[in-house]
Amino acid sequence: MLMPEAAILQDTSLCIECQACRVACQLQNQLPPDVSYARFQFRESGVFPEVSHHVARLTCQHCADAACVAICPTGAVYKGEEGLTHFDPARCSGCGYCAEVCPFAVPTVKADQAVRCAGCPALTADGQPPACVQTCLAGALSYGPRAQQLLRAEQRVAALRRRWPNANVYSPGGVGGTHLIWVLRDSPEAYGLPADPITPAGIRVLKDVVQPAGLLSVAAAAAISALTFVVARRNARRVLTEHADKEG
Amino acid sequence: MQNDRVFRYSGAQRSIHWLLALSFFALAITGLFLVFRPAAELAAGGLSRQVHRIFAAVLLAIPVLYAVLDWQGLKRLVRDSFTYDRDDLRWLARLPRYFLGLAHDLPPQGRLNAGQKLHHALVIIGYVTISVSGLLMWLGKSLVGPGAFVAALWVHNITTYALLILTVGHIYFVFVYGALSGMLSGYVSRRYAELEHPGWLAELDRTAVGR
Ligand code: HEM
Repeated sequence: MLMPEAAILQDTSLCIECQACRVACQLQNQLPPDVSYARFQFRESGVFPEVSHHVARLTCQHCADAACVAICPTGAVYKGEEGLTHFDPARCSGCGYCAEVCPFAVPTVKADQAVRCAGCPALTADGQPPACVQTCLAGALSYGPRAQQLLRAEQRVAALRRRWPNANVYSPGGVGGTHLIWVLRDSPEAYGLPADPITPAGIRVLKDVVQPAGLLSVAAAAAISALTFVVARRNARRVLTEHADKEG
Repeated sequence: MQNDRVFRYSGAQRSIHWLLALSFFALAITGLFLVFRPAAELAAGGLSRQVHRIFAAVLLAIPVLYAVLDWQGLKRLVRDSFTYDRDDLRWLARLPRYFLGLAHDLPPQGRLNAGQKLHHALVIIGYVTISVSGLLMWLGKSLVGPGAFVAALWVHNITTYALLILTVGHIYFVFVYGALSGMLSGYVSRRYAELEHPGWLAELDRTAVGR
Protein backbone atom coordinates (compact mmCIF):
# COMPACT_ATOMS: atom_id res chain seq x y z
CA MET A 1 0.00 0.00 0.00
CA LEU A 2 1.45 3.30 -1.05
CA MET A 3 0.98 6.12 1.38
CA PRO A 4 -0.09 9.45 -0.10
CA GLU A 5 2.30 12.35 0.45
CA ALA A 6 1.42 14.02 3.70
CA ALA A 7 2.14 17.42 5.16
CA ILE A 8 1.85 19.31 8.41
CA LEU A 9 -0.01 22.59 8.13
CA GLN A 10 1.15 25.21 10.60
CA ASP A 11 -1.23 28.17 10.75
CA THR A 12 0.50 30.96 12.66
CA SER A 13 -2.71 32.98 12.83
CA LEU A 14 -4.28 30.34 15.07
CA CYS A 15 -1.30 29.64 17.34
CA ILE A 16 -1.96 30.59 20.95
CA GLU A 17 1.71 30.14 21.93
CA CYS A 18 0.95 27.56 24.62
CA GLN A 19 3.95 25.42 23.57
CA ALA A 20 2.06 22.22 24.33
CA CYS A 21 3.48 20.93 21.02
CA ARG A 22 6.97 21.29 22.42
CA VAL A 23 6.10 19.33 25.55
CA ALA A 24 4.34 16.61 23.56
CA CYS A 25 7.43 16.34 21.39
CA GLN A 26 9.70 16.02 24.42
CA LEU A 27 7.49 13.27 25.85
CA GLN A 28 7.28 11.43 22.55
CA ASN A 29 11.04 11.53 22.09
CA GLN A 30 11.93 11.16 25.78
CA LEU A 31 13.92 14.37 25.79
CA PRO A 32 15.15 16.06 28.97
CA PRO A 33 13.32 19.32 29.76
CA ASP A 34 16.14 21.52 28.47
CA VAL A 35 16.32 19.82 25.06
CA SER A 36 13.69 20.56 22.46
CA TYR A 37 13.22 19.85 18.79
CA ALA A 38 11.13 23.01 18.40
CA ARG A 39 12.40 26.55 18.82
CA PHE A 40 10.06 29.50 19.27
CA GLN A 41 11.02 32.77 17.61
CA PHE A 42 9.13 35.84 18.68
CA ARG A 43 9.25 38.93 16.47
CA GLU A 44 7.62 42.34 16.75
CA SER A 45 7.23 44.81 13.94
CA GLY A 46 5.68 48.23 13.46
CA VAL A 47 5.49 51.26 15.77
CA PHE A 48 3.12 51.65 18.71
CA PRO A 49 0.16 51.49 18.58
CA GLU A 50 0.38 49.64 15.27
CA VAL A 51 2.51 46.78 16.55
CA SER A 52 2.27 43.22 15.29
CA HIS A 53 3.59 40.24 17.15
CA HIS A 54 4.63 37.11 15.27
CA VAL A 55 5.61 33.74 16.57
CA ALA A 56 7.38 31.12 14.52
CA ARG A 57 7.61 27.59 15.81
CA LEU A 58 10.82 26.67 14.12
CA THR A 59 11.28 22.97 13.62
CA CYS A 60 12.10 20.65 10.74
CA GLN A 61 10.53 21.95 7.53
CA HIS A 62 10.53 18.44 6.01
CA CYS A 63 11.96 19.70 2.71
CA ALA A 64 11.14 17.50 -0.29
CA ASP A 65 14.72 18.02 -1.56
CA ALA A 66 16.26 17.65 1.89
CA ALA A 67 19.96 18.61 2.11
CA CYS A 68 20.25 16.87 5.50
CA VAL A 69 18.99 13.55 4.12
CA ALA A 70 21.35 13.78 1.16
CA ILE A 71 24.42 14.59 3.24
CA CYS A 72 23.92 12.35 6.32
CA PRO A 73 26.88 9.92 6.21
CA THR A 74 25.26 7.23 8.35
CA GLY A 75 21.66 7.20 7.17
CA ALA A 76 20.46 8.50 10.54
CA VAL A 77 18.42 11.14 8.71
CA TYR A 78 16.09 9.63 6.14
CA LYS A 79 12.85 10.15 4.28
CA GLY A 80 9.64 8.34 5.12
CA GLU A 81 7.14 7.20 2.52
CA GLU A 82 4.80 10.00 3.57
CA GLY A 83 7.48 12.57 2.73
CA LEU A 84 8.45 13.59 6.27
CA THR A 85 12.12 13.66 7.28
CA HIS A 86 12.88 11.16 10.03
CA PHE A 87 15.78 10.84 12.41
CA ASP A 88 17.19 7.81 14.20
CA PRO A 89 19.45 9.00 17.07
CA ALA A 90 21.00 5.53 17.43
CA ARG A 91 22.62 5.87 14.01
CA CYS A 92 23.75 9.48 14.49
CA SER A 93 27.52 10.13 14.65
CA GLY A 94 27.11 13.77 15.63
CA CYS A 95 29.11 15.02 12.65
CA GLY A 96 26.82 18.03 12.38
CA TYR A 97 26.66 17.99 8.58
CA CYS A 98 22.84 18.28 8.74
CA ALA A 99 23.16 21.39 10.88
CA GLU A 100 25.67 22.88 8.44
CA VAL A 101 23.64 22.46 5.30
CA CYS A 102 20.09 23.08 6.58
CA PRO A 103 18.76 26.11 4.66
CA PHE A 104 16.63 26.95 7.71
CA ALA A 105 19.42 26.47 10.25
CA VAL A 106 17.19 24.19 12.32
CA PRO A 107 19.26 21.25 13.63
CA THR A 108 21.90 21.71 16.30
CA VAL A 109 24.45 19.33 17.82
CA LYS A 110 24.77 18.54 21.49
CA ALA A 111 27.04 15.95 23.11
CA ASP A 112 27.89 14.13 19.86
CA GLN A 113 24.24 13.90 18.82
CA ALA A 114 22.16 15.90 16.42
CA VAL A 115 19.21 17.64 18.07
CA ARG A 116 16.53 17.53 15.41
CA CYS A 117 12.92 16.60 14.74
CA ALA A 118 12.46 12.84 14.32
CA GLY A 119 9.24 13.19 12.34
CA CYS A 120 7.57 10.69 14.71
CA PRO A 121 8.12 7.68 12.41
CA ALA A 122 6.27 5.28 14.71
CA LEU A 123 3.14 7.42 14.48
CA THR A 124 3.22 8.46 10.83
CA ALA A 125 3.94 4.90 9.65
CA ASP A 126 0.51 4.10 11.13
CA GLY A 127 -1.04 7.03 9.33
CA GLN A 128 -1.32 8.97 12.59
CA PRO A 129 -0.31 12.63 12.94
CA PRO A 130 3.01 13.46 14.64
CA ALA A 131 2.88 14.12 18.39
CA CYS A 132 2.98 17.93 18.07
CA VAL A 133 -0.04 17.93 15.76
CA GLN A 134 -1.98 15.58 18.04
CA THR A 135 -1.56 17.93 20.99
CA CYS A 136 -2.25 21.27 19.36
CA LEU A 137 -5.08 22.84 21.36
CA ALA A 138 -5.82 25.67 18.96
CA GLY A 139 -6.00 23.70 15.75
CA ALA A 140 -2.98 25.63 14.45
CA LEU A 141 -1.34 22.36 13.46
CA SER A 142 -2.97 19.75 11.28
CA TYR A 143 -1.81 16.73 9.32
CA GLY A 144 -3.12 15.25 6.10
CA PRO A 145 -2.52 14.68 2.40
CA ARG A 146 -0.16 17.34 1.09
CA ALA A 147 -2.29 18.48 -1.86
CA GLN A 148 -5.26 18.99 0.44
CA GLN A 149 -3.17 20.84 3.01
CA LEU A 150 -1.91 23.24 0.33
CA LEU A 151 -5.47 23.96 -0.69
CA ARG A 152 -6.51 24.61 2.89
CA ALA A 153 -3.54 26.92 3.32
CA GLU A 154 -4.55 28.94 0.23
CA GLN A 155 -8.08 29.29 1.57
CA ARG A 156 -6.86 30.44 4.97
CA VAL A 157 -4.55 32.99 3.37
CA ALA A 158 -7.37 34.32 1.20
CA ALA A 159 -9.45 34.86 4.33
CA LEU A 160 -6.57 36.40 6.26
CA ARG A 161 -5.71 38.85 3.45
CA ARG A 162 -8.60 41.12 4.47
CA ARG A 163 -6.79 41.98 7.66
CA TRP A 164 -3.22 40.95 6.71
CA PRO A 165 -2.52 42.05 3.13
CA ASN A 166 0.87 40.30 3.15
CA ALA A 167 -0.48 36.95 4.32
CA ASN A 168 1.02 34.08 2.35
CA VAL A 169 1.56 30.36 2.08
CA TYR A 170 5.17 29.48 2.88
CA SER A 171 6.51 26.26 1.39
CA PRO A 172 9.53 27.46 -0.57
CA GLY A 173 10.35 25.87 -3.92
CA GLY A 174 14.11 26.28 -3.53
CA VAL A 175 14.13 23.25 -1.24
CA GLY A 176 11.78 21.30 -3.49
CA GLY A 177 8.73 22.41 -1.50
CA THR A 178 8.20 21.39 2.09
CA HIS A 179 6.07 18.92 3.99
CA LEU A 180 5.58 21.53 6.66
CA ILE A 181 3.43 24.22 5.14
CA TRP A 182 2.99 27.57 6.88
CA VAL A 183 0.19 30.04 6.82
CA LEU A 184 1.92 33.34 7.57
CA ARG A 185 0.16 36.60 8.33
CA ASP A 186 3.12 38.60 7.11
CA SER A 187 6.26 38.19 5.01
CA PRO A 188 8.65 35.33 5.96
CA GLU A 189 11.22 37.93 7.10
CA ALA A 190 8.75 39.26 9.67
CA TYR A 191 8.95 35.81 11.28
CA GLY A 192 12.70 35.51 10.93
CA LEU A 193 12.31 32.93 8.17
CA PRO A 194 14.53 32.95 5.08
CA ALA A 195 12.69 34.47 2.10
CA ASP A 196 14.26 32.20 -0.49
CA PRO A 197 16.06 29.22 1.06
CA ILE A 198 17.74 26.82 -1.34
CA THR A 199 19.18 23.33 -0.98
CA PRO A 200 22.97 23.74 -1.36
CA ALA A 201 24.18 22.40 -4.69
CA GLY A 202 26.59 19.54 -5.09
CA ILE A 203 25.66 17.26 -2.20
CA ARG A 204 24.13 14.46 -4.29
CA VAL A 205 26.98 14.47 -6.81
CA LEU A 206 29.48 14.31 -3.95
CA LYS A 207 27.72 11.37 -2.29
CA ASP A 208 26.60 9.46 -5.40
CA VAL A 209 29.50 10.10 -7.80
CA VAL A 210 32.63 11.56 -6.17
CA GLN A 211 32.73 9.28 -3.15
CA PRO A 212 32.08 5.95 -4.91
CA ALA A 213 34.43 6.94 -7.77
CA GLY A 214 37.10 7.98 -5.25
CA LEU A 215 36.91 4.75 -3.26
CA LEU A 216 36.92 2.73 -6.47
CA SER A 217 40.01 4.54 -7.79
CA VAL A 218 41.90 3.82 -4.57
CA ALA A 219 40.89 0.14 -4.75
CA ALA A 220 41.88 0.00 -8.43
CA ALA A 221 45.30 1.53 -7.69
CA ALA A 222 45.87 -1.05 -4.96
CA ALA A 223 44.72 -3.91 -7.21
CA ILE A 224 46.95 -2.88 -10.13
CA SER A 225 49.93 -2.50 -7.80
CA ALA A 226 49.31 -5.92 -6.28
CA LEU A 227 49.15 -7.46 -9.76
CA THR A 228 52.33 -5.91 -11.13
CA PHE A 229 54.32 -6.14 -7.90
CA VAL A 230 55.84 -9.59 -8.40
CA VAL A 231 57.05 -8.82 -11.92
CA ALA A 232 58.29 -5.36 -11.01
CA ARG A 233 60.15 -6.64 -7.95
CA ARG A 234 61.88 -9.35 -9.99
CA ASN A 235 62.87 -6.80 -12.68
CA ALA A 236 64.19 -4.35 -10.11
CA ARG A 237 66.27 -7.06 -8.41
CA ARG A 238 67.80 -8.07 -11.74
CA VAL A 239 68.57 -4.49 -12.73
CA LEU A 240 70.19 -3.83 -9.34
CA THR A 241 72.50 -6.87 -9.60
CA GLU A 242 73.37 -6.23 -13.24
CA HIS A 243 74.20 -2.67 -12.39
CA ALA A 244 76.41 -3.72 -9.47
CA ASP A 245 78.21 -6.31 -11.64
CA LYS A 246 78.84 -3.72 -14.35
CA GLU A 247 80.34 -1.31 -11.81
CA GLY A 248 82.47 -4.19 -10.58
CA MET B 1 81.60 -2.84 5.42
CA GLN B 2 80.81 0.83 5.97
CA ASN B 3 81.19 1.34 2.26
CA ASP B 4 78.22 -0.88 1.52
CA ARG B 5 75.86 1.59 3.06
CA VAL B 6 75.16 5.29 2.66
CA PHE B 7 73.45 7.51 5.18
CA ARG B 8 70.28 8.97 3.72
CA TYR B 9 67.74 10.11 6.33
CA SER B 10 68.51 11.69 9.71
CA GLY B 11 66.77 10.67 12.91
CA ALA B 12 64.67 13.83 12.82
CA GLN B 13 63.58 13.16 9.25
CA ARG B 14 62.68 9.56 10.03
CA SER B 15 60.68 10.51 13.14
CA ILE B 16 58.76 13.12 11.18
CA HIS B 17 58.13 10.67 8.37
CA TRP B 18 56.62 8.06 10.67
CA LEU B 19 54.60 10.59 12.63
CA LEU B 20 53.18 11.79 9.32
CA ALA B 21 52.42 8.23 8.25
CA LEU B 22 50.72 7.44 11.55
CA SER B 23 48.52 10.53 11.55
CA PHE B 24 47.74 10.15 7.85
CA PHE B 25 46.41 6.62 8.28
CA ALA B 26 44.55 7.46 11.48
CA LEU B 27 42.90 10.40 9.69
CA ALA B 28 42.14 8.42 6.55
CA ILE B 29 40.53 5.54 8.46
CA THR B 30 38.43 7.66 10.82
CA GLY B 31 37.44 9.95 7.94
CA LEU B 32 36.38 7.12 5.69
CA PHE B 33 33.93 5.87 8.35
CA LEU B 34 31.81 8.77 7.11
CA VAL B 35 32.16 7.75 3.46
CA PHE B 36 32.18 3.97 3.33
CA ARG B 37 28.61 3.01 4.22
CA PRO B 38 29.33 -0.47 5.66
CA ALA B 39 31.62 1.24 8.20
CA ALA B 40 29.07 3.90 9.15
CA GLU B 41 28.19 2.18 12.41
CA LEU B 42 31.75 2.66 13.61
CA ALA B 43 31.22 6.41 13.43
CA ALA B 44 28.13 6.36 15.66
CA GLY B 45 28.79 7.83 19.06
CA GLY B 46 31.44 10.28 17.90
CA LEU B 47 34.66 8.56 19.06
CA SER B 48 36.09 8.48 15.53
CA ARG B 49 35.55 12.23 15.29
CA GLN B 50 37.62 12.83 18.44
CA VAL B 51 40.40 10.68 17.00
CA HIS B 52 40.16 12.53 13.67
CA ARG B 53 40.55 15.85 15.43
CA ILE B 54 43.43 14.77 17.65
CA PHE B 55 45.41 13.54 14.64
CA ALA B 56 44.38 16.61 12.64
CA ALA B 57 46.13 18.66 15.33
CA VAL B 58 49.20 16.40 15.08
CA LEU B 59 49.18 16.72 11.29
CA LEU B 60 48.98 20.51 11.51
CA ALA B 61 51.94 20.53 13.91
CA ILE B 62 54.21 18.46 11.65
CA PRO B 63 55.61 21.28 9.45
CA VAL B 64 56.29 23.29 12.60
CA LEU B 65 58.09 20.33 14.11
CA TYR B 66 60.09 19.80 10.94
CA ALA B 67 61.06 23.47 10.87
CA VAL B 68 62.21 23.38 14.48
CA LEU B 69 64.20 20.14 14.16
CA ASP B 70 65.67 20.65 10.71
CA TRP B 71 64.94 23.98 9.06
CA GLN B 72 67.48 23.43 6.28
CA GLY B 73 66.05 20.00 5.52
CA LEU B 74 62.52 21.37 5.25
CA LYS B 75 63.64 24.19 2.97
CA ARG B 76 65.52 21.75 0.74
CA LEU B 77 62.53 19.39 0.60
CA VAL B 78 60.15 22.14 -0.54
CA ARG B 79 62.67 23.65 -2.97
CA ASP B 80 63.59 20.30 -4.55
CA SER B 81 59.96 19.23 -4.85
CA PHE B 82 59.16 22.13 -7.13
CA THR B 83 62.38 22.31 -9.20
CA TYR B 84 62.67 20.12 -12.29
CA ASP B 85 65.41 20.04 -14.92
CA ARG B 86 65.55 18.41 -18.34
CA ASP B 87 66.76 15.08 -16.93
CA ASP B 88 63.80 15.04 -14.56
CA LEU B 89 61.35 15.43 -17.42
CA ARG B 90 63.07 12.67 -19.38
CA TRP B 91 62.95 10.52 -16.25
CA LEU B 92 59.20 11.13 -15.85
CA ALA B 93 58.64 10.10 -19.47
CA ARG B 94 60.04 6.70 -18.48
CA LEU B 95 57.81 6.36 -15.43
CA PRO B 96 55.81 3.43 -16.90
CA ARG B 97 59.02 1.41 -17.27
CA TYR B 98 60.17 2.44 -13.81
CA PHE B 99 56.77 1.28 -12.50
CA LEU B 100 57.57 -2.21 -13.83
CA GLY B 101 60.97 -2.30 -12.14
CA LEU B 102 62.91 -1.55 -15.33
CA ALA B 103 65.26 0.99 -13.80
CA HIS B 104 68.22 0.70 -16.21
CA ASP B 105 69.30 3.48 -18.56
CA LEU B 106 67.42 6.13 -16.65
CA PRO B 107 68.55 9.75 -16.91
CA PRO B 108 70.86 10.45 -13.95
CA GLN B 109 69.12 11.68 -10.83
CA GLY B 110 70.26 13.51 -7.72
CA ARG B 111 69.25 13.02 -4.11
CA LEU B 112 65.63 12.65 -5.21
CA ASN B 113 64.47 11.18 -8.47
CA ALA B 114 61.82 13.04 -10.45
CA GLY B 115 59.13 10.62 -9.31
CA GLN B 116 59.95 11.25 -5.67
CA LYS B 117 59.95 14.99 -6.27
CA LEU B 118 56.57 14.82 -7.95
CA HIS B 119 55.25 12.67 -5.11
CA HIS B 120 56.51 15.14 -2.51
CA ALA B 121 55.13 18.10 -4.45
CA LEU B 122 51.68 16.53 -4.71
CA VAL B 123 51.73 15.57 -1.03
CA ILE B 124 52.61 19.16 -0.10
CA ILE B 125 49.76 20.52 -2.23
CA GLY B 126 47.36 17.90 -0.82
CA TYR B 127 48.52 18.75 2.68
CA VAL B 128 47.53 22.36 2.15
CA THR B 129 44.14 21.65 0.57
CA ILE B 130 43.15 18.98 3.09
CA SER B 131 44.20 21.16 6.05
CA VAL B 132 42.45 24.29 4.83
CA SER B 133 39.23 22.46 3.97
CA GLY B 134 39.38 20.46 7.20
CA LEU B 135 39.87 23.59 9.28
CA LEU B 136 36.94 25.23 7.52
CA MET B 137 34.80 22.22 8.36
CA TRP B 138 36.06 22.16 11.91
CA LEU B 139 36.31 25.75 13.08
CA GLY B 140 34.56 27.67 10.35
CA LYS B 141 31.38 25.64 10.51
CA SER B 142 28.68 28.22 11.04
CA LEU B 143 30.95 31.01 9.74
CA VAL B 144 31.24 29.86 6.14
CA GLY B 145 27.64 29.07 5.24
CA PRO B 146 26.13 25.93 3.69
CA GLY B 147 27.49 26.43 0.15
CA ALA B 148 31.09 26.90 1.28
CA PHE B 149 30.76 24.01 3.71
CA VAL B 150 29.76 21.66 0.91
CA ALA B 151 32.64 23.04 -1.22
CA ALA B 152 35.09 22.30 1.61
CA LEU B 153 33.67 18.79 1.85
CA TRP B 154 34.34 18.32 -1.88
CA VAL B 155 37.94 19.48 -1.53
CA HIS B 156 38.46 17.32 1.58
CA ASN B 157 37.07 14.26 -0.21
CA ILE B 158 38.96 14.68 -3.49
CA THR B 159 42.22 15.31 -1.65
CA THR B 160 41.64 12.20 0.45
CA TYR B 161 41.36 9.93 -2.59
CA ALA B 162 44.29 11.62 -4.36
CA LEU B 163 46.53 11.23 -1.30
CA LEU B 164 45.48 7.62 -0.81
CA ILE B 165 46.33 6.78 -4.43
CA LEU B 166 49.70 8.52 -4.05
CA THR B 167 50.31 6.56 -0.88
CA VAL B 168 49.54 3.25 -2.58
CA GLY B 169 52.12 4.16 -5.24
CA HIS B 170 54.59 5.32 -2.60
CA ILE B 171 54.44 2.05 -0.69
CA TYR B 172 54.58 0.06 -3.95
CA PHE B 173 57.82 1.74 -5.08
CA VAL B 174 59.39 1.34 -1.64
CA PHE B 175 58.96 -2.42 -1.82
CA VAL B 176 59.72 -2.84 -5.52
CA TYR B 177 63.09 -1.11 -5.07
CA GLY B 178 63.78 -2.32 -1.53
CA ALA B 179 64.07 1.19 -0.18
CA LEU B 180 62.50 0.68 3.25
CA SER B 181 65.78 0.59 5.17
CA GLY B 182 66.38 4.28 4.40
CA MET B 183 63.40 5.21 6.56
CA LEU B 184 64.14 2.62 9.27
CA SER B 185 67.88 2.69 9.97
CA GLY B 186 68.57 5.78 7.90
CA TYR B 187 70.95 3.87 5.61
CA VAL B 188 70.48 2.58 2.07
CA SER B 189 72.73 0.18 0.18
CA ARG B 190 75.41 1.78 -1.97
CA ARG B 191 74.24 -0.39 -4.85
CA TYR B 192 70.77 1.15 -4.69
CA ALA B 193 72.16 4.65 -4.47
CA GLU B 194 74.43 4.07 -7.47
CA LEU B 195 71.55 2.96 -9.60
CA GLU B 196 68.91 5.41 -8.49
CA HIS B 197 70.69 8.49 -7.24
CA PRO B 198 74.16 8.65 -8.84
CA GLY B 199 74.19 12.45 -8.71
CA TRP B 200 73.55 12.42 -4.98
CA LEU B 201 76.21 9.76 -4.34
CA ALA B 202 78.80 11.73 -6.31
CA GLU B 203 77.92 14.80 -4.24
CA LEU B 204 78.30 12.78 -1.00
CA ASP B 205 81.66 11.37 -2.05
CA ARG B 206 82.88 14.84 -3.02
CA THR B 207 82.00 16.32 0.37
CA ALA B 208 83.46 13.26 2.15
CA VAL B 209 86.75 13.73 0.34
CA GLY B 210 86.64 17.45 1.03
CA ARG B 211 86.34 16.74 4.74
C1 HEM C 1 44.61 19.23 9.34
C2 HEM C 1 44.06 18.21 8.85
C3 HEM C 1 42.60 17.83 8.92
C4 HEM C 1 41.54 18.46 9.52
C5 HEM C 1 41.53 19.76 10.30
C6 HEM C 1 40.37 17.64 9.26
C7 HEM C 1 39.08 17.93 9.70
C8 HEM C 1 37.96 17.21 9.36
C9 HEM C 1 36.63 17.51 9.80
C10 HEM C 1 36.25 18.66 10.72
C11 HEM C 1 35.79 16.60 9.24
C12 HEM C 1 34.27 16.57 9.41
C13 HEM C 1 33.81 15.37 10.13
C14 HEM C 1 34.00 15.48 11.58
O1 HEM C 1 33.81 16.55 12.14
O2 HEM C 1 34.32 14.44 12.16
C15 HEM C 1 36.58 15.71 8.45
C16 HEM C 1 36.07 14.65 7.70
C17 HEM C 1 36.86 13.83 6.92
N1 HEM C 1 38.23 13.82 6.84
FE1 HEM C 1 39.49 15.18 7.67
N2 HEM C 1 40.73 16.55 8.52
C18 HEM C 1 42.10 16.62 8.29
C19 HEM C 1 42.89 15.72 7.62
C20 HEM C 1 42.42 14.63 6.93
C21 HEM C 1 43.24 13.66 6.21
C22 HEM C 1 44.76 13.71 6.10
C23 HEM C 1 42.39 12.76 5.67
C24 HEM C 1 42.66 11.55 4.80
C25 HEM C 1 43.76 11.09 4.47
C26 HEM C 1 41.05 13.14 6.03
C27 HEM C 1 39.92 12.47 5.63
C28 HEM C 1 38.63 12.83 5.96
C29 HEM C 1 37.45 12.19 5.42
C30 HEM C 1 37.43 11.06 4.40
C31 HEM C 1 36.35 12.82 6.02
C32 HEM C 1 34.88 12.49 5.76
C33 HEM C 1 34.41 13.39 4.65
C34 HEM C 1 32.97 13.19 4.35
O3 HEM C 1 32.18 12.98 5.25
O4 HEM C 1 32.63 13.28 3.15
N3 HEM C 1 41.09 14.28 6.80
N4 HEM C 1 37.91 16.10 8.53
